[in-house]
Amino acid sequence: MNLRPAKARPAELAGPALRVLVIDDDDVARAVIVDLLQQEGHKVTSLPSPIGATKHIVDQRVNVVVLDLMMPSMSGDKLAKLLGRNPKLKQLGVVLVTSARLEDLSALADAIGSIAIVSKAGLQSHLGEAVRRAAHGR
Amino acid sequence: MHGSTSPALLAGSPVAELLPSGARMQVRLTLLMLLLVGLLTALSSLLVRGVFSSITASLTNDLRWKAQRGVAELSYSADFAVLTANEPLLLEAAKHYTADADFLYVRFRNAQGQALLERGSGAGLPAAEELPEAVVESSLAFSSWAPVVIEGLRVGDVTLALSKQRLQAGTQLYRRMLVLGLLGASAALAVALWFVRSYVVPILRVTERTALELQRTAKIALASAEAKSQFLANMSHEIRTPMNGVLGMLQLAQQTDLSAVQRRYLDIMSTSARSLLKVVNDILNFSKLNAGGYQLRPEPCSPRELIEETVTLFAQRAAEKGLQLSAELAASVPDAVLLDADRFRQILGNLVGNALKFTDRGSVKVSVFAGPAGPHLASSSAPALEVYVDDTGPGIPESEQSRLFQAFSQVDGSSRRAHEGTGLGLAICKQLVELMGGAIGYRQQEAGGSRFYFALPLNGCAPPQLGAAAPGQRLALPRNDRPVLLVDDNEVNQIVAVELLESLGLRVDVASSGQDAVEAVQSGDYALVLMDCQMPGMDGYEATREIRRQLQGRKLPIVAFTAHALAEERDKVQQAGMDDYLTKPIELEQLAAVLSRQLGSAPRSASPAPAASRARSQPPLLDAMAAELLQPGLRRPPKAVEAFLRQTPEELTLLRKAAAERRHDEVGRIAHKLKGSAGSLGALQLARLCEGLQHATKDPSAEGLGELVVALGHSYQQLSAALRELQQAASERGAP
Repeated sequence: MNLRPAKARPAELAGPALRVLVIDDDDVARAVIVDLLQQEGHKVTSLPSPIGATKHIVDQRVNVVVLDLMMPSMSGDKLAKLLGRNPKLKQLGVVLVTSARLEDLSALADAIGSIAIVSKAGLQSHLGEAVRRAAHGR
Repeated sequence: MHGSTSPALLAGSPVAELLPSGARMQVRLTLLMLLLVGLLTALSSLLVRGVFSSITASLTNDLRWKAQRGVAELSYSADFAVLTANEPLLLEAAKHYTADADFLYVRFRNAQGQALLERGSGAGLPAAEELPEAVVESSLAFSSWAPVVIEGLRVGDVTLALSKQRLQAGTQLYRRMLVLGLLGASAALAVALWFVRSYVVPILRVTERTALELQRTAKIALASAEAKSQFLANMSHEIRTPMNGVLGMLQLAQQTDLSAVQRRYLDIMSTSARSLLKVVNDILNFSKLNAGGYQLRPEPCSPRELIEETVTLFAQRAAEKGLQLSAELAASVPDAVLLDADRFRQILGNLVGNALKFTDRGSVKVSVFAGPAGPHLASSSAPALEVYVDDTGPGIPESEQSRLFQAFSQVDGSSRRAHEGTGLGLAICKQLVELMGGAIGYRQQEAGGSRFYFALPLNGCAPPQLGAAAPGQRLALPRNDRPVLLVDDNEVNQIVAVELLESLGLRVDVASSGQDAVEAVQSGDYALVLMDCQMPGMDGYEATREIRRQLQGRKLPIVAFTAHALAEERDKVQQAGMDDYLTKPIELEQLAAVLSRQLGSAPRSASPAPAASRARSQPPLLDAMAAELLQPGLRRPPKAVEAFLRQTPEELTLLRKAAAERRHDEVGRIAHKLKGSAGSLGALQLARLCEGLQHATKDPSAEGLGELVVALGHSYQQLSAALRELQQAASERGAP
């Protein structure tokens, strides 16, 4: 069979393609993040709610989840905490995104711990790197 | 509803199978008719034949005999007439025979064979001259011949023939009767068959159809009852799952730093959510009872404890309204009875709660008697446990009394609609009491208040075993470092449980499916597993069985938590090998109680009592206490605890004394003081009781004060045990 070469990616973004799951209740933000990560060459799936995320992550063998911090059914930090408690997901990288200013999130610092957090204002410049780091740091 | 019994009944004995099908029945009936008619015909023809043959035989004999005797007599009496050929003499001699009804022919001849006299018709008669006096039978007659002999000399002969006409007429008649009989039988058969065809068969068809329809209806009813039950279980699940989220998050929110206003809002929200849950529970309970699938679980329990527990639970509410709440047990009430304790609490709690709700001043009094069944129990002479709940409220108008125990009716039409509730409480009570074989009723008191009573059949038994239930043990929360594994597929449930568990100081791992749980237990070392029962794929029961199989007897407490509050769940949980169970929404108190129970006694006994029954024997007061004491962030200086433990017994003694001497001011003063110290230690239950007591002293009659004092002592006992346990735990941690 004639295998076609993988889609060319910009050289500066080199690195293994990852399976990324994006969870954000805001349709627009979700589309933006998905788009951005696809441009990086990752295989991206998305969910509008944290409910059922665990199953999706396990089934799709997701490497990194990108979570919105403020979601109605469950906040991203809580979901991150749950995922961290799941021995089956020890290899999973987590990145939080938020529309709030990072300086306002100091109250969450404990809860978030060492999880990467990216402001939605700075998605373009920081998300790609945060995702790759989360994948490496796993 | 009584409809619930009939489907089961019908299912047990399918009506249609009891009846043969219409076609088969028709064949059978036709055969039966044929057989009957044939049998009757045969019998009657046999009978007729018998009669006729006996008549024919006697007639034949008669004719033979007459013929024989006739010739003998004539040959003798007419010898001279024959010798002399004297015709008149011959006629005279034969006269007797020629006049006979059967006479056919007579002939006298001389020795030469010439006929001397011939009468009648001799045509067709056989010659009978072979043997003297022998009877020869022909188709027409019986003939006989004899020689006429004088002095040994044959002078002539005589022949006599008697007609068989009478005999033949008889035979003919017999034949005719036979034919007629057969015709009659055929007619009867035809009529019978016609009857079968035109009446019996249609009736059978209708019956058959009815039976089939009944069977079908029964099937449908059964299926719908099943569907209803399933629907209830699902509804229960569907409603409780989000309620779990709401209540859990509320609890968590209440633990955070809040402003006074926020706290008040959250308190109101919490109250509303709880009353919503109660309404949902009421409706589910009622529907479940209605669907007829309710299983009672009688167990040995102490009426005294049951009453005390219930009354204590309501002490606070009574105190808030300034009502006296008291309980009185007759000496005749046995120490232990066989009862479904949960249901008993539910019934009594409902009646007491109602009494408190509708009474604005005065008192609510619970009295319990035991003895031969009074007028309330239909079931005659069996001994009964009778419980009365009397209040000094407004009573219930006579016109409304008949509707009291009906579903969805609350007496207050408009004026008192301020009282919340589904109006299902009493209907549920009635159903429960009746399920327990008892009776419930209402009577207006002469003084104006209400008296609700219920009577249950009294089944005495050995006192309940409360061996391992020393209060302190339950609070020994785990000091080991092994985490707890939480298994739930729903992230919202997960986070609620995780946060609750962590607020109790536990480390938590999460598995989101039964399969994951099995794997996690294989690779990790867990102190306990909290298992959701309803999960897609491998559910909690299956996962538990699998884990038990893999552990091969190694101890690992598995606690089920389930949104189904239905009673069957207990059995399922136990059968699957789980040690205990929690109902969603998870309450912090219950969680703490179950955890301390499962983790506290580290070397678990080889044959643990069934978890569910242990769960029930636990006084709710203690769970509440456990939760209070475990509240995170509450600073409890050890010295203050020590002082509290040292002083309080003295104060309680003083309090009892003052109460006994009816020095109400003194009681109020001590209660106030105790309230302060208890409150500062976070012992809210005790503080509330103190407050209630303080309140009660302000009422001049001060009824029920004694009970409150007793409850207070009880509460302190438990509190002190719990505090000591905590102290010990702290000192062990502090000095390793």
